[in-house]
Amino acid sequence: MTRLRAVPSYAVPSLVIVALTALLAFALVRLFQVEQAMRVNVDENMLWVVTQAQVASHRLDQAVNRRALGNSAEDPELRLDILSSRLTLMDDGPQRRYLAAEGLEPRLDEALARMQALRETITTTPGEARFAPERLTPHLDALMASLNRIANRVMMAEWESTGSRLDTYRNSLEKVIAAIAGIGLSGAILVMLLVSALRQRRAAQRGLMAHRDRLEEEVERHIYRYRQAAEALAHALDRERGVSEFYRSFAAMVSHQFRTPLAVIDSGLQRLLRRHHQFTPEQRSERYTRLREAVAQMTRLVESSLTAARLDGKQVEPSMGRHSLSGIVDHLCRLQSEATGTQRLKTQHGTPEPWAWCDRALTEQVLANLVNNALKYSPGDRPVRITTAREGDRVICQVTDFGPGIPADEQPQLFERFYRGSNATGTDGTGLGLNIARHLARIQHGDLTLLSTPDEGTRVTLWLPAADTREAGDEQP
Amino acid sequence: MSQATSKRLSFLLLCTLLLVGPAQGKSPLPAPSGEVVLTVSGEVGLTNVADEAHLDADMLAALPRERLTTHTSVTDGPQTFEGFLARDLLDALHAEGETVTALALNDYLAEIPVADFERYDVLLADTMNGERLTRRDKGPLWIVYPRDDHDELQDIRYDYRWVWQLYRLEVE
Repeated sequence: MTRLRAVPSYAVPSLVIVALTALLAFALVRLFQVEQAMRVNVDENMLWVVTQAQVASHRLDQAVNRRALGNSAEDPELRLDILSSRLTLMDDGPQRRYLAAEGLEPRLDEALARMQALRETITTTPGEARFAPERLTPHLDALMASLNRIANRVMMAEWESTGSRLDTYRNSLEKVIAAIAGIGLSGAILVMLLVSALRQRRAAQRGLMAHRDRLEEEVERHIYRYRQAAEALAHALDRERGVSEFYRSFAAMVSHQFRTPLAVIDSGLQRLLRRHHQFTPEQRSERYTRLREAVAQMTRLVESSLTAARLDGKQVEPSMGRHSLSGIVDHLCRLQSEATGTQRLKTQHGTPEPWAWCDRALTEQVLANLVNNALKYSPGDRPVRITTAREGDRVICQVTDFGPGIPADEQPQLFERFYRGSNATGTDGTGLGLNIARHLARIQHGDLTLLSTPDEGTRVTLWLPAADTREAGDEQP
Repeated sequence: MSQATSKRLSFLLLCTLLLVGPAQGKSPLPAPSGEVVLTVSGEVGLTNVADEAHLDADMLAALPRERLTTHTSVTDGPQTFEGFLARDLLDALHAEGETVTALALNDYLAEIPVADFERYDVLLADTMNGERLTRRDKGPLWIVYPRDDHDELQDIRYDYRWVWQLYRLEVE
């Protein structure tokens, strides 16, 4: 649309400029011709030529009359020669043509004839009589009359010619001025069109840039969305990998760890089948009880294996919150006392109250494991001490028993899966408890450490990130 | 050929006279023997009548002859002129000046820069198309510019310097 309109809007002034330039060239050629005509025009001189001839004729008349009055210094012959020279000039090509064009040829011929007559009179008459005015004056009068007519006519012809030349000159000049004005006007229109086109282009560029900016924003938005989708996909893939890792891990644990208890149960049952008539009811009852314990042990193993596999597959997501560590410990001890009736648990809490940033259920699970271990691996008459405190930006909970302790060379391996210390032989255990407890501590950005001295006891420390003491939130006692 | 040689000889004689002349006295230029054709006055080194140089036809004929064919503003077709160069005349007379005033028998007068004579081969012609110029026509002498050889000479500002019936030059 804009293009279609732009083409003729430029074409019209351009065509006008071309046309006016042609007109200007034509007018300038005319002016040049006028100038050339003025330069080469011989006829310009004509009035002077005729006037000089008139002067020469008057000088001859004067010389003749003075000679007659007795002035012998006057030389009519010289004056006649000079007059002859003038008339000869008028008789020459260009001058004669000019006079002929003005219809003055008869007058020129008359003058030439009279001059010839004068010369004949002077040359043929002897003595002083050859200069007698009465012989010369009639010819001279006629000659002067002819020259008068010629001068008169030439003057008018020159004025006519000058006038017409001025007309041509003015006409050409007007054309030149009109052409220049037209060219200037068309040029101004062209410049205006150019300026407006430039302005439009700038506006279009600004529009384009704005559009480009919008596009860039759009693209960035899209990229952000795609990145989010990619992250979600990666996350899903991670979870998927975690699930498969969970199954792989669980399958491995089942295949390695379940055979022994199953074999124990199986052999116990075979023995009961084969020799149940040899056993007393008490013996049978005792064997059934041991078998049930083995099954219970297996159930625990399954539970622990599932937890460990879940941790391996990153299937456990802690839900972090602000909780009082001393509150968790007190609650746990109360439950433990109610369930087993034990009086061995002794708690001690530091001030200020240690607030932890943790998952309450997972922390309870860890501490329950530690407390169970301490009760299990120390003599029944010795207490288990549980303390809480804040240390810098962390809170700690230490569970200390006064049992036989663990040899120093075994301590680094205690957190390995299915590792069981030499002291533990004879007590039931899965070999998974500490491993799971440390995992659970670490996914809450905490840790679990162990320090044991043989014959003195073992101290396990749970480290958790501290929460702001003064902050009121979703804390629980 | 022999005529040209004799003219050349007589010019040499004139030159000798002119060159030797000043040492001999106040009037080193010989007096004109025939009718005086051209008078040169003003800043002239060599004179023969009072402080002017009066030259007759023989004395002028002793100057180197030159031929020039050119159109004029008052005739049709090319014309062939013969005569001598204006600068040769001024040199021969030891004339030194800026301007030469040329006077004609008909009382016409024109001032001509001497530079014209140095820049162009300006002829003082006594012959046109083989015929001697007389005072009934443009004689005795006609100042002729080599109009056809130089475009700038085809100009009315030079045309008025073509003085005919020339009889007197005043050097200033």
